[in-house]
Amino acid sequence: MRHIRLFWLLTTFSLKKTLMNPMSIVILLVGKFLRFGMFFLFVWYLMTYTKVLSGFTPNQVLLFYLTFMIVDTFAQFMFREVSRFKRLLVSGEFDSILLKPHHPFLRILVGGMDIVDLVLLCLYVGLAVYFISQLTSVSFVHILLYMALLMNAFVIVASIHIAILSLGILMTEVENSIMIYRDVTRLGMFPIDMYQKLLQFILTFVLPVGIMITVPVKGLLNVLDPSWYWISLFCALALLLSSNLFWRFSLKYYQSWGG
Amino acid sequence: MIEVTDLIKTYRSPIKFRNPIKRIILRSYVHHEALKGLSFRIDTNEIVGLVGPNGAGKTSLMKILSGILYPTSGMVRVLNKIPFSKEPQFLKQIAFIMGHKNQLMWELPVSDTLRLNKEIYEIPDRKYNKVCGELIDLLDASDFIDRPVKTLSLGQRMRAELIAALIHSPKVLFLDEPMIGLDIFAQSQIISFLKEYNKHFQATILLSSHHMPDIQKLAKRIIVIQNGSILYDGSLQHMITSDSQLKTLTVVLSKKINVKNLQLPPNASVNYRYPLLTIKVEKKLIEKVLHSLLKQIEYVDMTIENETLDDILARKLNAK
Repeated sequence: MRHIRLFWLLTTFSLKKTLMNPMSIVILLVGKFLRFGMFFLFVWYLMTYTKVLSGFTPNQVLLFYLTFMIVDTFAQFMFREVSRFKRLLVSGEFDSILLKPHHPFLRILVGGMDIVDLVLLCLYVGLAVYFISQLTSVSFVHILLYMALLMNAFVIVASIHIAILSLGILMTEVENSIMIYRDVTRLGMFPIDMYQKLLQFILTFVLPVGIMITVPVKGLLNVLDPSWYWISLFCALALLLSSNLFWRFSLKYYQSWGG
Repeated sequence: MIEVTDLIKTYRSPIKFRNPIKRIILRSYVHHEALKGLSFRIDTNEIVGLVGPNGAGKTSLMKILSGILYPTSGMVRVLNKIPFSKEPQFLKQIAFIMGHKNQLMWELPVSDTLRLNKEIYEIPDRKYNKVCGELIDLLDASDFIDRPVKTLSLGQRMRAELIAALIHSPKVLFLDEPMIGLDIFAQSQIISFLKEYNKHFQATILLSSHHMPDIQKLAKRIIVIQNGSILYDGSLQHMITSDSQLKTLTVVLSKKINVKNLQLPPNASVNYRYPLLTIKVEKKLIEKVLHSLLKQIEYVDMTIENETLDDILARKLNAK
């Protein structure tokens, strides 16, 4: 309960800081809308010509794209503070976070929610709801499964960000790790079935982009083998556990820079 | 209260090969021992000064005592807890103030950081209002408490930092160069505040500073660290009286003199610029010099001073 109260207080302060510069919000929003709109149109245009991609219809492909956008924007909305972690590390401000009687993730992982991304997230969810409603063969159970698998994807995203923070402590490197994560997840904009088998395997078990994006949509479309539910749950839990162990390990080697 | 036995802290840093490929593939490290088997004990309500040159290990020691850093080996207990386990009950009883870093939210008013700390430390409304009011009064901070941190002067920011760090009434305070960059007014305000805080809350304070007068004003005991080892641990007054080897005699003359004609011990150091005559002599010779000098000069004022703590420390550190 106390952690939830603290989380809301930190979110309020983060919003307060964001609203101090309203012009930058407008520019950022316009930029993000344009980028999304252009790519959305590109996919739409592409699909009107190809008709089917790896066995999926245009609407279904757009669902993959929207699911990717939801997962990606959720990561930016929830874990924006991770990209500021290097500054905290090199200035030594991370020390004062470690001294507080709460879990440091409250500050360095979810302590700076980005309200701009919430606006976009709502848009993507709205569009996803629209495209799901256009599907004829989707039952309520499949929608629930899709949501459960999305939750699973959010756990994987959180674990990856915890690993990035841990790596930051050991290497003082955060931005490039985030860029690599984002570049890799972009491979999941479309169903990973369109790639070669080896890449599919890598994108499922090494870099779990497939489990984060392709699996939930396939679950929704009822084209997923039931064993994948367990595989994805196991993957998420294993990643969460190992990233937390990695975090504890990195803290032991924290050198506290900045004097 | 604070117990340290055989504390060792080793840092490792990667060896930088010129060849970047080698640097990645043959990643090897050089180890540097920052603390070499320290042992000491600090009791409740003590104020202890931690002194030593840059890189001696003072900050590393305080960071281990507060639980920020993990010790390589040895035993550390603060308030009967192991600091690195970061138990909330332990963290609620300590504060670490670093003069060159801040915990305040830069863009927001100081009062927002205080509100956040109130929630973090789970301070009840009544206690928060009382302690906050007392600290604001003691540090004369009512004028700037609602102003964004980025608009404050260094002195104001340090005072705000103190309020934010002490809002939960910690029992142990680690202060690392808290007066850095402050003017003498702000310094004396903070020194009186710390004395008052120590008295009022029976707090234990470990203070590191390069500014010896601050240490002298606050601490009765000092720990001198050099190259990660303790050089001296004991009474500050004892160190000044026992280690002070020189006395400085300053005379304001009423009449010009020829220094060459003064009869002084051969190792006395003399500095003369009329009307000031300064003579540094060994402690044991001061009486003899004074007796002889009074016969040779005419003066309007005269003072005899011990060596400063800075001088004593500099000699002690250089001798090692």
